[in-house]
Amino acid sequence: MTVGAATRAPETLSAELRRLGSWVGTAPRREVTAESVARFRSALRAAGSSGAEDTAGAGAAMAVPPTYFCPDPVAEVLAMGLPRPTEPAHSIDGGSEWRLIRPVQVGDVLTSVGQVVDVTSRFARDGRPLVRTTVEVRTWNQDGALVGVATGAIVNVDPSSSTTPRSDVSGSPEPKPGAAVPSLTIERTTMDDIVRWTAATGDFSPVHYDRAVAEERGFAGPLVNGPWKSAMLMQMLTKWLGDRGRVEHLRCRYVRADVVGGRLTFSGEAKASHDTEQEPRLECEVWVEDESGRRTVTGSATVSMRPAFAKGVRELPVDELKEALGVGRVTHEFAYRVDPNDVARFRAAVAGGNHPAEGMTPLPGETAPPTFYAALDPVERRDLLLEGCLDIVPFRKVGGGNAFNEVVYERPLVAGDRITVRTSYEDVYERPGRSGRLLFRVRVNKLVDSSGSLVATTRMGHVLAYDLEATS
Amino acid sequence: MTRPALVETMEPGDELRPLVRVPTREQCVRYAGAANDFSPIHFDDAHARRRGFDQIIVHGLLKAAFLGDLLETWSAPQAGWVQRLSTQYRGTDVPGQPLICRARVANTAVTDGRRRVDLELWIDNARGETTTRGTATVVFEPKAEERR
Repeated sequence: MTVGAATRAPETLSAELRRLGSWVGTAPRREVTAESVARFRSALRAAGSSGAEDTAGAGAAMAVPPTYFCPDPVAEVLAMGLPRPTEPAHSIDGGSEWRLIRPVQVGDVLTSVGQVVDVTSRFARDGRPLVRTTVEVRTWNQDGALVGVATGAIVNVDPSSSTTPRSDVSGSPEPKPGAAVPSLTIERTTMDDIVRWTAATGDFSPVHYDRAVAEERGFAGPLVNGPWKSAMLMQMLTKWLGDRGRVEHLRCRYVRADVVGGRLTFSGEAKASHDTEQEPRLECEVWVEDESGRRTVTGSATVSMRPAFAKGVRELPVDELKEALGVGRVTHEFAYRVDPNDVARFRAAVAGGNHPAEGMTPLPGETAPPTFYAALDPVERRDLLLEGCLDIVPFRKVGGGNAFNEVVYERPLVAGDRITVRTSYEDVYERPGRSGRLLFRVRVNKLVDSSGSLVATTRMGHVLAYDLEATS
Repeated sequence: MTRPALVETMEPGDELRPLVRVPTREQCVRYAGAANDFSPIHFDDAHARRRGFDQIIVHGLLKAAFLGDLLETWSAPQAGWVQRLSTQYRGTDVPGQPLICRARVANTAVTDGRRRVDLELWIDNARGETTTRGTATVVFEPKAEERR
């Protein structure tokens, strides 16, 4: 579709362009697969995320990056077949914005609808006509819940000037005092980054990988994708926040093009907080600088902090841990055999050479030592791995270990028993202690034999000490 | 060889003969293997130092097992078995240092011919610190002649 002409005045152009505003396109429903998430993460690997981090908490759901649902709103609406102005002839991505409403998980099925929401035209600072088309993509999950809204800006400019498109904002403001977000530096962007991003997003605009096309457009080489820079800023923010909070809103303007091969530095700074609501929010400024210190992306982010991590609050996230451990809700089941040889080994280990005869293998039916329940604990055996949830504690760990153990037997454990252990967390609580704030986790194991009779009930108390003045 | 104190004659306040154990580094490794508890703080000095200890520490549950051993040594020859054992770890202990494991009768009761003995338990180390405390109930099944 051809709309307007570069020679017409912006106001004439606007009237025609506004007609585009009613166009709506729909993307096919797509499942969030582990492979596609891995591909997306691989496109951001330059940000220093190691493979180990990507698979952290094996067995846990793979974390889906926040902008995954629509990494490039412009590419998304074009893939949906939405029209856009073709004149002025050269289009660039002017910026992106994401409102993140609900985290996406592997296995979700996403439906997206794209729409042209606004078209405006004006003369650029250098006098060339400029048309800005704003597109919006709304994405829902299989439950009909909105997961996010992504907005993109297509800026069409006249090709007559062969310089790199200039910033349409004036010089970068000096960062004001505030908490700096640890910055990320990519020493050299590579075609590999671009190709990975292309593979992840399906944005096949040749200006990002075809040098001839890029040069014809007046650039010194292929251009780094604007949304990739946003995704890196998002990565910087999510790494900084960890589990202390989440990004609700990220808005980026692509004010200068970056040619592949240069150094980019991704930075941010917390500017202000709004503590009026239950969930305190923090406004951050974010930006990307090229190697000569020019800001090529400027933007802002709103992050909501978990209440426990809000300014001045120094508490352990007990409720979150209760939820993560399934206190009172979840029971895990494991089957173990009380092997006579294991009983002998246990007796020998406890005896430590004091009564050599105790190393002899008991006959089936012979009693196991009273603390043999310890050998049937799924957590100590590493059969039940729930330690990962402790990552949400933002404070430095200064100690910890077993706090107490209890066992009540209905009958002794005997060699040859086949025991089903049903483990559940009974409580999580905190207490002040000498070495810091103490976090207790208590789990209960019910040991049931093959006839279904309860043999023993154990309570295992574990404690960790945290220094609430030091963050992890 | 001293015979174990006969349960029928014991009263609240009576103590069992203490059990002295000197856990070794090797014993910690053996216990880790036997109990499937492979926390490196019990066998890796470098890890223990990172956690703020001078060297590895003895498993709390190994100390509980010593108390279990003390109770079994006393009760098993008299047809008794440990029905309940509760232990709390108040301090850490290192290999090579003696641990004195103690038990004192808190209460005794006979119901339906079964004698139940409640005990207080504790472990003192060589520095005189009580690093483990606990309670237990030992049940003695009726002897054949009492069942008639």
